[in-house]
Amino acid sequence: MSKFIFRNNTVEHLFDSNDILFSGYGDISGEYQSADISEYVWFYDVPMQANGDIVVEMISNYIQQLSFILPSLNENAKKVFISLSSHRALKFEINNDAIEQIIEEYNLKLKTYCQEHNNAFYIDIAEFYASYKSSELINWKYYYTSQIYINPMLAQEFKTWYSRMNRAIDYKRKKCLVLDLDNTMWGGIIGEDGMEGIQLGNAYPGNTFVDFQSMILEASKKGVILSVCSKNNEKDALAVFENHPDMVIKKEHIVYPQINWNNKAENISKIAKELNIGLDSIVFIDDNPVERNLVKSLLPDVTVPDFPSQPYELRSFFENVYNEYFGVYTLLDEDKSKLKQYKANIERKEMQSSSLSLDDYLKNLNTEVAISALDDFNLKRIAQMTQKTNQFNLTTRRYTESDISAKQASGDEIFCISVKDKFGDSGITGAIILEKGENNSSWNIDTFLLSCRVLGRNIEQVFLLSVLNKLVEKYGEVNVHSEYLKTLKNEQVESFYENNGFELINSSPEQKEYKIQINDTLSIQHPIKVTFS
Amino acid sequence: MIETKLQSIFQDIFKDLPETNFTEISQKNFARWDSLNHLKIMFAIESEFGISVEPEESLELTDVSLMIKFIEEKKA
Repeated sequence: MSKFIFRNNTVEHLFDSNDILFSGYGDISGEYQSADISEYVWFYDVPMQANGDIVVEMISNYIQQLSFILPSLNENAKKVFISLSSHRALKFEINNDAIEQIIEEYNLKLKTYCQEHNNAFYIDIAEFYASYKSSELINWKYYYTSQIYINPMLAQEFKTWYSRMNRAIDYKRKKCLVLDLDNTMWGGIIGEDGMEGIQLGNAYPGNTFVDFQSMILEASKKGVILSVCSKNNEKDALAVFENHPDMVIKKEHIVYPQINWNNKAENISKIAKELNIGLDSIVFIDDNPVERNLVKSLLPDVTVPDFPSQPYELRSFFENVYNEYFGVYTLLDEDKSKLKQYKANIERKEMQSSSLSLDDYLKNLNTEVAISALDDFNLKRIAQMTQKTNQFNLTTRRYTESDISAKQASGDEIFCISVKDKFGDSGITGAIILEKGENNSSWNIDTFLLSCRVLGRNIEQVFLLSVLNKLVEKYGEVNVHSEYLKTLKNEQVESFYENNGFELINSSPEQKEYKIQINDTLSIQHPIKVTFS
Repeated sequence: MIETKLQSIFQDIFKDLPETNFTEISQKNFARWDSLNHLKIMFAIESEFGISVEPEESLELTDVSLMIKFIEEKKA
């Protein structure tokens, strides 16, 4: 069992252990596929070259190295990726933007990989660098004699920081905190003590519950989803959320509350199902040991911490729960907005179930889509989507920004779609790349993908047909070729083209090929407003 | 005491030291004293004794007795 460190400079002084293999500087030809490697660390730093163009070029080369190496790392090994930080870039006036941009692209590549792989972790080194002046970070003597970028004087500090980050990432973060109410969120029992009788307010023990709730609220701001599972009359309990002046947690902070007399294991399963998360992502907090035991024995995957016996212990209790199960190694912005997203989806779903028909529902959403041709503003997002999208992705071809720019330069038509509805703007959530054939009338759909956030609303069809109509408008009669390339995750789009009027011309278990000839505008049935820009 | 301090630097870096008299250790008779460990010794010396070891000097410091002499001179 050993560790393999990819690096572009000397980092030996920052790691203690004999079981470490180091790559050459910026070298990816090492023996990194050996079976006994159980951990990889990818630790590059911003090159110190004075010429910004070279720095940019070198970093884009690192990105290529990553593309090459990521698929061939041992699957079960832990993988730690250390970010690049523009702290280290030379700050001359020229090239700053380009350097910042390429660093961002590099980090995005790491983050994306880490989001898609369970045992891969992204560590933002800017957090370490931020504690030091740039003159402290490097000792030029050691840089020029030994290619050491991180001042040996900081080796101990680095080790301390690095092992703290590793402690945090060795736990997989849970997603959802499910809370009991009586004697957990407040003291006493609402059904018996009434609104005025429960303990929640300035005086002990009420103040401990207020604080407990405040901490839970902070956790929710950091991406922890909150839900409730309690045995109460729903009306009584909700009245506390709505009317008690000292409640910190409000109804809007909570998703899918299960307030009823059903057994709690059943309710928690329901929450997991509604949120579409695993039971192992749930932490359940309840003061009642009987309920805790029931959940523990029926749902062994749910984490059920012991509850403190005294209210004044709630604070340290929650700190421990947070650090242990929700500790973050790096908080992506996405985590923060996750709650919002879940809530928006829930509202959409709820409308769906109360509406008369799916069509009515869709009409009520007032969905509008805007289709835009590739430009400087959407390029990054389009590339990112080709990298990230797995489910609704017909061909799963991964592209970098420069790949996509090159395609456009060779005559391909590239569009993206952004979607908004009465609940909010989902931003750019789909892309299509039409590869130009021999002439203006022959095209191939190289890439067609949509984020799963906007699925199930006929947007895919509207997008495809609108773009094809655009082609006809621009070039007259067109012949369009398309294909479905099967992956482990894209089964849901297996029949997408058949369902949209394409003719199947070739089929194997791995792949399907289609064609369609279009000489007139296709009609779009769905009540979705489309604008082109 | 320079020698004592230097010995504890070596101890930190190498854990086990050869059985020989400390001042007799040199790069020649101690295989684990490689370039990386040499580097570690250098920056430990710099921070422990508050002196600067220039790259040219560092190359010359191939055994413990030379190091002790060097540090004495720099501190003087």
